[in-house]
Amino acid sequence: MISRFPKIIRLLPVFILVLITGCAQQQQTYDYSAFEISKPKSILVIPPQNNSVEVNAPYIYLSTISRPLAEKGYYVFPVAVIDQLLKQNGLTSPAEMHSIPLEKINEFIAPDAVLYVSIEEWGQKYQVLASTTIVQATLKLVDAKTGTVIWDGVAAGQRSSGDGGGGLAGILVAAIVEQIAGNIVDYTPSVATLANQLALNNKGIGIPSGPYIKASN
Amino acid sequence: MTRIKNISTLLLLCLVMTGCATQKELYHWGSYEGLVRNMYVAPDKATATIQIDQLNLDIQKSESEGKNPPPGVYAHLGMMYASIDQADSAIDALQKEKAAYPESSVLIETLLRNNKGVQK
Repeated sequence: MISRFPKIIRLLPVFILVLITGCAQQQQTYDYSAFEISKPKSILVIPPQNNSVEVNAPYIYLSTISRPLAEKGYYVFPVAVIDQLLKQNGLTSPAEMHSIPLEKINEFIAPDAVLYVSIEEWGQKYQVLASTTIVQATLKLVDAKTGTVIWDGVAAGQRSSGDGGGGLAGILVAAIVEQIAGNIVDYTPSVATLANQLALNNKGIGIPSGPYIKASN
Repeated sequence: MTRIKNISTLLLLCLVMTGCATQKELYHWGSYEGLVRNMYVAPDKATATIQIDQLNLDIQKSESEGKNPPPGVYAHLGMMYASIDQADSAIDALQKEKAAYPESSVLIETLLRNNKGVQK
């Protein structure tokens, strides 16, 4: 009886189970009560603080955060315009930018919420066979009127040069090619993009959808 | 037989990926993210003229689809015009940001006050 179905069909329920659990994967749920009271429509991203050794990390990160937030349904203030405005007003480092009083932010920019980012790890680590690109940042979203933290999370991602298959031979080739090329390709933007996607969209712990998404999920 | 199995697995993988993938994006992003990055990392690849050309192309594409460009893009274009002293174009772009996204009103007023120093 069983043998009447090819093996692949018999395995189908298993695949479906994997599919369902794979998509649902809900560990703990974030407490959104403060977020629900605040209900922000617009988000101001302050240029990130840098705890990594990579000098360019804050601005590379900054270039990857507007898209996922806007696609989540929020108005996101133009990151480079904000950076320039703050610099013109004498705030030259992200550390200084992170200490601007909310009253000043409300007077000149008036966002509903402010996102403070701190970069913890950034860049490539070299191993024997491959190099790994690592990005890790902590995110804290604050209500601009009250200063209450309404959401926080960690954006973390990594990519090995061996990723993408080919087995050991593929990894070897990739490692050699990368070493010959002197690692001209910087994977941090794409890893940061992935990390943000995961942090913001993870069901149960990500950011709820904003007003520009009509049918909120 | 293994070939059929391989194909089936591939099909399933496709299903899983499309099933979990999110719906279409709200905006046409074009070159904005890359330009922002290059401004700081490789400024010669993101001069004001390069940015103005690229952003205008991106904006045209959004507008031709009847959509707003992504939040911030008009304002970013305005900053680029201001940087090469094209005050009228700068003001026009900033006003478009405000019209498309009223959330930006206070920022745009701040920028317009700052831009008064730009010579016509």
